[in-house]
Amino acid sequence: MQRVLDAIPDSSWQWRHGYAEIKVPSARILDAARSLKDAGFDYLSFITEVDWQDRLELVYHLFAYDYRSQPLGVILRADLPRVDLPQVASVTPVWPGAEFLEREAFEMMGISFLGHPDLRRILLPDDFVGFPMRRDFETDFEYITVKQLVHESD
Amino acid sequence: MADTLIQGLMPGRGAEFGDTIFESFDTLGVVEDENLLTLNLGPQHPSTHGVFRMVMQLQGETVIAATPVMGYLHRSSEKLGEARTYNHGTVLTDRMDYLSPITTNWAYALSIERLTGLVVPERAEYLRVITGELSRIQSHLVAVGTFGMDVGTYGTPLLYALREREAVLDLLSLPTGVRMNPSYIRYGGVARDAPPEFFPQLERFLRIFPSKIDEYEAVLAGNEVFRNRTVGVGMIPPEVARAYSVTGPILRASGIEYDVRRAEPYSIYDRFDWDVPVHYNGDCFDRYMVRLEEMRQSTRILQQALESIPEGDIRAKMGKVLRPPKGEAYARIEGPKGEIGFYLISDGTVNPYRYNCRPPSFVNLTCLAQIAVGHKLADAVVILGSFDIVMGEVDR
Repeated sequence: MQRVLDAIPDSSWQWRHGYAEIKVPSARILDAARSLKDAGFDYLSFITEVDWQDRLELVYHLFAYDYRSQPLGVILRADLPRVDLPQVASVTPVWPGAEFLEREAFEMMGISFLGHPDLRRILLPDDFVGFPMRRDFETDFEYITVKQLVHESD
Repeated sequence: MADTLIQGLMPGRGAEFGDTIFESFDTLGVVEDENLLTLNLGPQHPSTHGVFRMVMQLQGETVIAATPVMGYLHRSSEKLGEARTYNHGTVLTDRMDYLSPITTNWAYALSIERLTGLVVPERAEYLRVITGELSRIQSHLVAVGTFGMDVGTYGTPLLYALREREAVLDLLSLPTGVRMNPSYIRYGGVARDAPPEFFPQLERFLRIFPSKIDEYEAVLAGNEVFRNRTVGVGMIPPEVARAYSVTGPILRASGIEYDVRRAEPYSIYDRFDWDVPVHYNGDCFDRYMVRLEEMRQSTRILQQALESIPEGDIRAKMGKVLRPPKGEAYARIEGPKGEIGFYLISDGTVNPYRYNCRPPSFVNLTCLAQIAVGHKLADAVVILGSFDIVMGEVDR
């Protein structure tokens, strides 16, 4: 664990629920991902994006397919500025399985992943406006009512 | 960066009203070519197991590119979860994996328990294992039966599997009270105690069920046509499975012995004697066999749980309204489709600040396009069937 931390400047770590929680600057996320994968954490379980009102945060949960290793898992975190489409490096070169999870973060929280092979919407309709998982999102009731569908069939 | 994105597909911009982008292929990265046939499989198609759409480019009958399109069943469960209390959030988890709602309930309850430090009574843990394993059997029965349909068996295995699924649903309705959407596992315990007649009925079911699994194996795995359609089709090598974060029976069919019940034992799984079934070819046939083996192992766990279930409380002592302390927790369990995780953040109020689910079907679908390429169209349907996706969970 210390070896991984030495490879990434400006990082800090602590324990949380039995997992090692590492905080890195957002510019270092790809370096951190590479060195953690080399350290044996080859299973990217989940990417969560959190809106803390003053900043956005990405939370990666990493585990090892060889589950006898220690520690059991790693939580990798990075802060992003709270603007429209803040840019961060995609981890798809390290874990291709991040593709759909990053697409979801892109449309739900408005985070732009540089180097993603196919950054498009995934769950919402394409004329949807706004980032729904941000805390200040307000539902457009005109949009979600059936009126729109009636209009289209005319 | 921005100019590499298609304008209408940028979140926050919004396309003009009337731009029916779902209908145009160029936004999906599909290249028009007069030698290729572009085919929409779905969203309304019996082989897609729900409203799932695959845009495939075919040369003759061979798939040379595939683009999965989803979101037709999106109900914004995560946004709704943030606006509701912790107790109400359980109901939303039922609607995710509607074929085995109890396992999703469990992941959510486990995450809250990690957040608050609630200790679940012993009897509730046993009831969780019993209902959870019954749900796994129920989900695998649907997977095995509908997979037979995808291969072209014309209903016989499906009806066999649904016959046993009815028995499981009848059993489950004794403690839960309903057949579907039970919301049975809640934080701090379970909703109701099992009635006394549940245990003899479960025992009778466990006596009969292993012979039924042998029957499915005899009907399908011994069938020459079934073997020709599935052996060597849709191979996922272990390194691809690792890279694409694949979990569940699909991963174990590729030769990686990884089960959250073993890797990070939750509840009381470390007390039971059972094996993690692993197959090594990673093709559709192995995925089918792993599911059959898992049903046998579930039967073993159920047998042991039934013998040792203690008397006692079924709910932890707690107040009427749950206000977890500030903090966050990620808890994961092994569902029938793979690893179900729940990430919750509490800000000290009655509503979760962030309510986020890791749906196994959604993540498993990431590698589908790569696996389907190079196969015949009919085989692509078989590969999708062997993945055993549930659209309620993919789209949430």
